[in-house]
Amino acid sequence: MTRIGWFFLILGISLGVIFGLYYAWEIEPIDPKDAVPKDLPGQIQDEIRTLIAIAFANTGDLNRAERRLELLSDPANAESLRSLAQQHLADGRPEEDVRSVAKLAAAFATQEAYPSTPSSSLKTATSTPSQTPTPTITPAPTETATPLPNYQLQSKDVVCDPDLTVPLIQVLIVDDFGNPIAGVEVIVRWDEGQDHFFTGLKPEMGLGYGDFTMSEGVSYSVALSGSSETITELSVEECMEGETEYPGSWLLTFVKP
Amino acid sequence: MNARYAPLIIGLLIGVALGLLYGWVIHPIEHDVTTPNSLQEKYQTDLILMIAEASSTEADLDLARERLIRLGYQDHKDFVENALNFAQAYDFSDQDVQALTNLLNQLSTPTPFPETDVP
Repeated sequence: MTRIGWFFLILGISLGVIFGLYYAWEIEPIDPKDAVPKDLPGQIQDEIRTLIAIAFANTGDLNRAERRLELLSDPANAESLRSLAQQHLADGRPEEDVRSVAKLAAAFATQEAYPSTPSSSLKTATSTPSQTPTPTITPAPTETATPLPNYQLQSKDVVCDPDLTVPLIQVLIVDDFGNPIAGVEVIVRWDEGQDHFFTGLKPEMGLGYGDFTMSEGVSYSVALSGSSETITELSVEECMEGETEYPGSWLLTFVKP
Repeated sequence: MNARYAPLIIGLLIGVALGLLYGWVIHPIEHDVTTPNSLQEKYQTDLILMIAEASSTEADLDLARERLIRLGYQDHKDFVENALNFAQAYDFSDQDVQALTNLLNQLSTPTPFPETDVP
């Protein structure tokens, strides 16, 4: 080959490489789609956690929820889900989101408190689609999708407990059999405003438990979401221990018939 | 064509091939993983399935749409369709396929236009 021939060959290769790289990186970059959920930003992972919780609330399949949560970066446990529920509450997210995450947190808390024999399928399950299990809709004791349940006030008691550092409105919700019910929204109103909380966010106190801190001199009313009954005139009561006076709390126990 | 330019043509072809080999195989451009669109298809399908499961009792279809959009699925109908195809191809359970089918049917239903007062 002549000298000019070599020149054209090298020139061609150079131009070709430049064009090839430009095409491969800019015009038609390869899209590997090989990311896994752990790679996603934390905010998107929180959205996915919420979705997992809502799907769980509808199907009752805790194993599937657990497997899905395992694909995310943080370990799935009741504490992290409780934090997420509280974050959603603070962010004003839809009630269903908060309630679902609280329910899933409560389900995990139950599982942590009473671990069952681990099933082999749980240990060996992978995210391979062909191994996606058939959702078994086993009615869990506390997770139901029944809309607008009615609750009845069973008792309303003043609690004089010097260990309580602040006066509380404590709410306990159980079913007919005494099983605690998590994820129920409790609405607290007073003259100048209102707030709400969900049962099950303090599982160490019981899955059907939730509380609200009262201020002295304010009268509160309490209602459960989906229930027409309102408990009124709840304010800080005076309790005595010896000569010492301290603020008392209220314990409201509701039963879902 | 003048044979004089044959080395140029040959060089161009070799160069393009080398460039593509390097750009696509040896050192492909790295994407920022910011949305679920970057996920492997099986994970995307599972995400859509979660929305389908969540929508099974939700009367509000807009909420399902909102969830899809929040996750970055703007063309949500296409993604649901892809997820359904994937689920069918990989033998997902009948219940899962049914949930995805229901979601796709719901999304395919045209949203009625709000009535406006025409003068």
